[in-house]
Amino acid sequence: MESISFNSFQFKKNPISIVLEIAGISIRICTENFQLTASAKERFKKFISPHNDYFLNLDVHLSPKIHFPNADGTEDFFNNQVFQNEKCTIYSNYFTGYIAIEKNYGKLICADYDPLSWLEHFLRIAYAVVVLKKGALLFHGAGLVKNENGFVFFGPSGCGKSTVTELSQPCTTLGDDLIVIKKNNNHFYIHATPFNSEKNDFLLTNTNSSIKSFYRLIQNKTTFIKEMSQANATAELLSSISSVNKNYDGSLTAIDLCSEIVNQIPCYEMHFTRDNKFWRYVNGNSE
Amino acid sequence: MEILNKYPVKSNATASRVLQGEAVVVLPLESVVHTFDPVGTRIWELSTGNNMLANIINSIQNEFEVEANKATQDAIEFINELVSKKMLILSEIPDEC
Repeated sequence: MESISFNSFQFKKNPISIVLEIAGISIRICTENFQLTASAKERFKKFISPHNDYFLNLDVHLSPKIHFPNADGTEDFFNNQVFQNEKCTIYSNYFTGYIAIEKNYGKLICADYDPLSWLEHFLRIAYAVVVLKKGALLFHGAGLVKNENGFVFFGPSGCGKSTVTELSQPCTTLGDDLIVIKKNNNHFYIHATPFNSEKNDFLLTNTNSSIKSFYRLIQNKTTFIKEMSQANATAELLSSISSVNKNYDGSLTAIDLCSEIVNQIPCYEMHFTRDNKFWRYVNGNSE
Repeated sequence: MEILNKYPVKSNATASRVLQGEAVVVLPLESVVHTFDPVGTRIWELSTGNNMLANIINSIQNEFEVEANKATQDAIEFINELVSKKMLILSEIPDEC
């Protein structure tokens, strides 16, 4: 397999661009591939910005099969990140790219088989890096709003984030997998992202809400909540932030943010059965 | 025991904070987060590279009113576990920086 030289991928004609805005942070995506632009516009339609200003420009090129020989879905997806000198390089069996924060620039070379999937994978990592640099967190959690209060339900894959989202309808849904947690005027807010399960995508509203409380989901035979110590809550929140991986400086920022969050906002273990009774305990806390 | 004469020091590969008497320690390269109870936290705080393990154990005995043999045994077990997880290094000489 040929190794990829980023410099050998340059636009031959004027690329088409769209600007994605998540939690007030914009990435401009440029590509010569009309089909990719059209499918990205449809996939991220609730987050396309009408403005042309952006924090980071991402050039996207599609590569022939020689660079990604198994990019037909036959191989399990994996990726690895390397952080060095304000640059995050991301390697995968279906794409490779980098984000150079100080230059506000990124480049992605991805397989021409299902390029929208690889663009989305890359954007999840890119946003994790970019938002952390801006003092926010890309967080594995479900963000739900009831009675104008925001609640975050979090935990590892399979703990029930999507289930809790579905059981909670109707309510304002900011996400059932990835949300942004961002500080504004010393208060923390949940912001919606487009990075969620496809089946619940229709529920999504692109908005934000101040956070009332956090709930670490644990499936159980009975429903109850248990307050967490600040240290345990911080550790649990840190475990839900993907950008902590391999990024030492980012880890320090993340620890400080999480410590600040738990100092301000209560965190509970939410032991729950697969029904919506858990809201009685959440509503009790919100009064 | 020879280990008692060594100087535990936190690995540069860790990032940590102490919240309400409990340490939260991250190893970014391993993508792992640990929390310590108050005794473990105090050992972690004293692992500056300037304190001999024997002296750290004396501090634990005094601060937590623990019986000497138990304090020694538990501390050595804890330190060895942190060393195996690459969170602590045992130095032969104190860190004079």
